[in-house]
Amino acid sequence: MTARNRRRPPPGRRLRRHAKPERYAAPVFVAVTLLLAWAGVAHASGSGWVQAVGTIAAGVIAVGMIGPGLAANRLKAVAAACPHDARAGEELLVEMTVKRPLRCTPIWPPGDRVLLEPGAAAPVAFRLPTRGVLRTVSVRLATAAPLGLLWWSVDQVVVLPAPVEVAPRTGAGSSHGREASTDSEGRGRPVPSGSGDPRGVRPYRIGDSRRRVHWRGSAHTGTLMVRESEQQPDVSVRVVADLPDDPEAAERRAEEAMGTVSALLAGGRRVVLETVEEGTRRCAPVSDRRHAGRRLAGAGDNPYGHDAEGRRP
Amino acid sequence: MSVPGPRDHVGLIEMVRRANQPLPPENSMLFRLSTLVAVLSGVVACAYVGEISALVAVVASVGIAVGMTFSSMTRQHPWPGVKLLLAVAVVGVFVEFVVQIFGAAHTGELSSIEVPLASLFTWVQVVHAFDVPARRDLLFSVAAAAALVTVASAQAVSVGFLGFVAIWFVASIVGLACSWRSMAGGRWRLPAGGLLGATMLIVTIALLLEVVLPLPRASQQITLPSALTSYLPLGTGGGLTQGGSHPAEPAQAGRPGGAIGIGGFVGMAGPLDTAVRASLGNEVVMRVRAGRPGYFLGSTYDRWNGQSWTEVCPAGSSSETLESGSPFQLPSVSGGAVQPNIQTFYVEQNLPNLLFGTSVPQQIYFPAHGLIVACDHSLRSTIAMTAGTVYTVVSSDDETPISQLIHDDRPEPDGPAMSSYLQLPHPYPRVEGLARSIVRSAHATSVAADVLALEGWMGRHTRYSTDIPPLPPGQDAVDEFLFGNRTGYCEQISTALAVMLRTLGIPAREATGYIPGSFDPLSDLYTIEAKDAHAWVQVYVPGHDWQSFDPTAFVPLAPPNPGAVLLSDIGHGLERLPWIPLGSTGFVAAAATLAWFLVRRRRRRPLTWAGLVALGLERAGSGAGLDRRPAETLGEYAQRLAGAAARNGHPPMPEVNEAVRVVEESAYGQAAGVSPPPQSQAAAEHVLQDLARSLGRRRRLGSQPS
Repeated sequence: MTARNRRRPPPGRRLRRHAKPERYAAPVFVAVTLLLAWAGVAHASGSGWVQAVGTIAAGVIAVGMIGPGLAANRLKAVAAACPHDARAGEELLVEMTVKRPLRCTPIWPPGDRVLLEPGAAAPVAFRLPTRGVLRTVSVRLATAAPLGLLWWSVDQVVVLPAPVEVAPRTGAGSSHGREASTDSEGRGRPVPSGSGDPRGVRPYRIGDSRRRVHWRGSAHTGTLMVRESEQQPDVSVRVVADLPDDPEAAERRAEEAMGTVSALLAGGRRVVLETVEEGTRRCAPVSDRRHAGRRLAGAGDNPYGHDAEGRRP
Repeated sequence: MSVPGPRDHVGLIEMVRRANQPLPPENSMLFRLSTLVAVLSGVVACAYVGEISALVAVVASVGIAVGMTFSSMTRQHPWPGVKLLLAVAVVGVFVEFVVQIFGAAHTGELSSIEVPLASLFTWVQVVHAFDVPARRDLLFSVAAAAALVTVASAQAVSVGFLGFVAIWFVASIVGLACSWRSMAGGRWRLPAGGLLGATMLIVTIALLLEVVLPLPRASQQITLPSALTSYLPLGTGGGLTQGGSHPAEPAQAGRPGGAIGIGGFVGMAGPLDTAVRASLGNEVVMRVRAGRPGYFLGSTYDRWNGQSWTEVCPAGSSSETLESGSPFQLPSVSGGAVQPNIQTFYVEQNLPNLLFGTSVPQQIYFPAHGLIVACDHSLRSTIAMTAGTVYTVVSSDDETPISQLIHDDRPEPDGPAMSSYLQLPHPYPRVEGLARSIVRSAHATSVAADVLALEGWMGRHTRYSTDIPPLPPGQDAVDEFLFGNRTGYCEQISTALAVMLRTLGIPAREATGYIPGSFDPLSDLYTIEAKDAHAWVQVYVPGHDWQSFDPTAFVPLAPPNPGAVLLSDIGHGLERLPWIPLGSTGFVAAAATLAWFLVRRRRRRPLTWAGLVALGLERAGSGAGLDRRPAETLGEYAQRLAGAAARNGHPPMPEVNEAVRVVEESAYGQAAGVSPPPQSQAAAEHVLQDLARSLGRRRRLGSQPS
């Protein structure tokens, strides 16, 4: 992932609401030159047939170069399916369907252009530069129909069938997280199997670690039993992810929080994540990395809360 | 499917490398086939207009087809050495083109750049056909096909060329659409409706442009068209040849009922005999592309003998042979500098060795080594003017407006000796008296005013008709026309004006040639048919040289005889019909209709004896006005017929019931479909025939089933 791709779309970049030709200078120059040559031959020979053939060629050129402009305004791509979760820095594959053959270039998030054909849905890959909740994507649809002489394109905002929660990258994490999951030399510590004096077994409750399941007791009683110690083996770690207003700084902070939470979860610690989502402070435990990623995706200002023009959908 | 992104800025070498790197093979057979058709249409079009020979066209077509097939078969793994071989071949073709250009230019026979260009494009196509593995290569072929058709269209003169243009256009559209499909993935079907709409739109745009754009005019800055299809030197010493099926034979004087010139007009090949009556046909003689259409002058006549015009060089003048080669520069006979009028003639039939053109010719592009300028300044070729010959005449068109001539009463200068143009075979006292009275009554004060007065009188007192009686032997044609029935066509009318002018002392001569025929907007050509041959008068106007006057334009049509006109039109219409295809088509249609009728009749005919008998009884009843009702059984119907017969006075016929029973038993009984015994059949038929006879008509009620 390059720094260029991680940037937000350039501010003030406007979507093409109406079709525009692409790289038209060379085709127009060639077409004009050809027609002038035709006129020259017609004038030189004085032949009406040359002019007649030239008018047909002019018609072909006109339809071939202007026709795609008319067709491009009617292009439409529909997102048929997409995953619910994604991760920043990775590709998001959105299944798209079209009614006419066209060339689709992702604008925001950026991606590689693909050719879409009518019929079955085809995947369009978007490179996700940042975390956030993605509800729409912007694509540039282009066509050269019916004769393939010139490409015309138009931009379209495609609404995704469901919001995609883009988790941040997993950063280095805080010192607390590192401390909880590594020893003083940085090597991985053995996973604790519980501490304190054994007290007995009790029925399983939601939230109990599976490592504490007492299989023999479970087999004896017929219900899931866990070992119970005199004192709690561990305490929850509260991770506060306050994201600043600056997008870059917020992204780095989210990545750091993601790294911390991942390390704690990997160490078997219970993690309570505190975030500000949609203006409301929320403090709740997270069960796994996906859960943490979703929480951090919705934390703070949503980088995907605007289209390529910077407007919120 | 991922496609490359925007190109980065690269150097020239990298761009060249990228341009020459192998491209994905094109797998669309429709694309390849449409490209092949487009290219072949261009090659055949070049052969059609004569830019390449038929042999070259056949060899090139086969080569292109083989090359395309080879390219298609090796598109996945192109042979490595092919590009090098093809490059060498292209260089060879180009060298041949350069040699052809310079060689032709050196000998002065370069008539048109289109011919070597067509050859170059054709052979380049042949070479290129062996290396078209990818879409870009096929698109090059499509573009080259357009170039071929354009080169061919520069020489196209007939509407038949439209067929080649249509084939090329459709094939190119399909090829471009296939190219777009290949660009966009290449697995979907071509949208026929969309392509048809695009085609219609293209045709509409082309038609609009064709209407709006001015027709092209040939530029004099380049070599103008001229070509020969054969080189047949003439040994006539500058005389006229016959044309027609004997293009090199010396011209024969036309005679009534005898051989006449091309299209039935003698004036183009020898003396102009006004006693000859001929019907001019519709065969195309020439096609002309002219900046300003006018009267295309062929020759003029100065000697009149009372029946025929002949050309006799005036004293002090003689024919001149130009040997400068094409283009021939003619000595200017007019002083004024006027805009040149470029006319290119495409000869469609063998013609006399006359070159036509509006007056006054200044420059002739004609691919012969010599050209004869007759004493009347008419142009004659030293080689036979065979079908396919092309030549271009640049005229000065110094015709003075009549409005200027009519007020320009100049004294006669010390110009050329005009005595031969005042020659008359004998005195024309009545004609002179008539002419003087007309001029006097018109108060004419100039030569042009005299001519206009005479033309006006002829318009009021003579009539135009090609259906005129033969000239009586020994009768003067002018006297007969002016004081006889006063009906004639261009020869009689113009001759009368020329003689009237000569009696007034005004030099005049007879001129023959062609008027522009119908205009073909596609080819920008005037189609001249044999019936467009014309005769008019040239009058020497002091200070303005020879000026053309057409008295026929003033003469109204003679009141037609409806029956004669109708018969003539029918005859002409029948004559023009393409009898062979029409007859063949009619024969086939008649045979098919007859076969259909017979089959239909056979299918409708009952197959059993009972059905035949019932049908006969129904026909008999129908003839007597008693049709069988839909719900009526045969027995009920027979009873009704018997009742009708009784009312006609016929004795009762109880045996009808038994006869009908036999018939119904045969049709619907236990032995349905089996004919009863012959005796029963005969008895039943006899009874029912009696019944039919009693109704007033005889019907044969039964016969053996077929």
